[in-house]
Amino acid sequence: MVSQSELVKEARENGMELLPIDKDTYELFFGPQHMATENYSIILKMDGNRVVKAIANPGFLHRGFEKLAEYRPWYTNIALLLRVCVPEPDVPEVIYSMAVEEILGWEVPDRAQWIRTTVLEMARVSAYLFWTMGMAFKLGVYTAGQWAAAYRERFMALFEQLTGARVYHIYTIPGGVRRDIPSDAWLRRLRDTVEYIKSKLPDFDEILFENYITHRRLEGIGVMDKKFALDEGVTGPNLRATGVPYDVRRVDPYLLYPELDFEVPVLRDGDALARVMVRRFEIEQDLYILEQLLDMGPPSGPYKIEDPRLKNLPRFKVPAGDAFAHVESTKGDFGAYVVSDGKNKPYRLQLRGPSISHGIRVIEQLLVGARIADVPVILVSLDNCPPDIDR
Amino acid sequence: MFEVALKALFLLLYATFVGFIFMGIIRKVSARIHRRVGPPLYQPILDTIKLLSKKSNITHGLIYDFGIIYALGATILALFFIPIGSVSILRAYGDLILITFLLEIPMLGIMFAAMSSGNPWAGLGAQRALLTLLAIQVPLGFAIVALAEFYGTFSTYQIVMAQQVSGWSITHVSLLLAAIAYDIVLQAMFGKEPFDIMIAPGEISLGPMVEFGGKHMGILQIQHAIALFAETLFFSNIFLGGAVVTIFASPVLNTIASLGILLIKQIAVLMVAIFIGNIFPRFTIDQAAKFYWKWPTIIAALGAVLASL
Repeated sequence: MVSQSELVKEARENGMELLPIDKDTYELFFGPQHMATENYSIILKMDGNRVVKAIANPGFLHRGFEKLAEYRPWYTNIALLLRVCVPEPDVPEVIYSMAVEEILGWEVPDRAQWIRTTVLEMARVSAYLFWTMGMAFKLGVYTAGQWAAAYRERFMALFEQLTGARVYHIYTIPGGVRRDIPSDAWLRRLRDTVEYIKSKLPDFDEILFENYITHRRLEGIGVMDKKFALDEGVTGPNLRATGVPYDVRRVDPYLLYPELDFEVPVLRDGDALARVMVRRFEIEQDLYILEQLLDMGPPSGPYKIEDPRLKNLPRFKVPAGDAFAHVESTKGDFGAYVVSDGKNKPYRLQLRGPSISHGIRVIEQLLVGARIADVPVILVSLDNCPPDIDR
Repeated sequence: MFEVALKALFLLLYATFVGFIFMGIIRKVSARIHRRVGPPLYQPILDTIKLLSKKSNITHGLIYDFGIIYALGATILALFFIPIGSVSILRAYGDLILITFLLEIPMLGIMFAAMSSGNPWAGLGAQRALLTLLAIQVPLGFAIVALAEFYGTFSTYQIVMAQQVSGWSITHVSLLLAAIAYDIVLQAMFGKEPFDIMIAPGEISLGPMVEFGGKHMGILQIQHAIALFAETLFFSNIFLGGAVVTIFASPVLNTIASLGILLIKQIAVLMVAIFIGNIFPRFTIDQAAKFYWKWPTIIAALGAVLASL
């Protein structure tokens, strides 16, 4: 056992500095166990109450989906890939299915298209409600958070009836969906839920979105301008908060979106408040879309493609080729690039999570100069989703 | 002498128990506002028993242990100075300034302990708590001045007695203003939103509390319970008329009646704090300081000026 004084002596002899090197700043490990970051950490160099430098430190959730997917048959991959995006697991399912269908040249039945659009919109509303919960907890107004979680639970119950699982419902498959809509009662229940949440939105406004303190807290922090956002590849509500009307549902329409009437909310300020308000308006628009879909009603017909090759799923082969498909998730533009070499497994699969842009480089630049109390708020206002980054 | 000690012990047990029930009420009422069922009222007692029975106990030195005992001691001392009907032990010395001072001391004790742990999060929390402490002094001072000017005395017991004659303090305009300012300050003293900046779970992961565990946290829970009781009691005494019951012949019945009346008033004070705390987000520390030096200060100063006219 070497005593401490001996260690110090030895270190000095070898020219090592034992004292903290930087005496003006201190380091905060805004780590994965902190309540504001979920499995993600930022190393903050702090000068008193202000951030001098922020270094994003993702990778705690790297599960290697892209490699694992290369060893699994085409249909088995669905159960793996949906775990990439925790708050809205339908998005990876749908983009993967869309890309595979593009390689196969399949035309998805109308009924499956309707179901997919409805499921995506339900996922969007529940993901926004989940985000509302996170934002409310970071701001300290726990009431709004608990309410949002409870309303999300109504959608979870609907998902459970439709697919059998609450969150990770392995539902969308290449060529359609796995099950049909259970009954008309399910559609009525969905309409009730949509109307109920619509009637509860003013409560959220009062307590969270139009609260005096919320506005004081969020105004003018984490400001990004249009050029910066476009340069860094920011998409989704974060980009729309800087004044760019980019929405995949409009720019590159998929599923039933061309037939639906909805607005893309755009704000100009680019600060945390603008990002929060864009999301608040999107909840309203998504509920409106769901109402339209329900008015339209599911078209009759099959809910998935009948193909003789599907009889033997492990041996199911996709012709050689590649395809890219992307959809608008609540976090931004979520894309999948699938390469097939004609075998029964994908040759390569790349997922482009939206958080990869704003979770690493953007956050490092937005946090500079922020107060410590603003750090979690900026992080949540960007809607950072660590599993997207790590994959 | 023996009788006084017995009385003190009774008072301490009563305050601790009621304080824990108050903590339970906070959790239960918050849960009802959130549309949850919530834990039973006695849940904080179970939590504290669990904390006190933890086997491993981490300590960071003498100050770390001492700070917590210091906080608990100061709270108990503050409790003994506040008149509880006619039971209180040191009520003859229950000076407004002394009690106000003693109610703030626990925060300092917790700061001592937190700072000695060497955790940067605890340091940040301590920094915030001290700034909160600094910010609430101004409106608090004016509120105390208004009271002292109006009643011409610093003695809490005399203020309670005066209210028996002239009606509750909040029925007078000047003291109503002081009460409003004091109630805003109370929000910070309870550690409720929008001024729970020193704890701030989502921001600095519980701040000073981040390093406490086991018996340290258990003692802090007891301290928090007694502080809740003492703070609501002080507010009820100086603004809501306290309770001096003399209608029964037997002193025991009188005591029970006054405790009951005080309990109702304390719960009323607590309810206001819970309702405000559940519908507002948290301020940042600089906004909170600015806020305290603006609206509550203006209101309390106006009250002080009106009281001295």
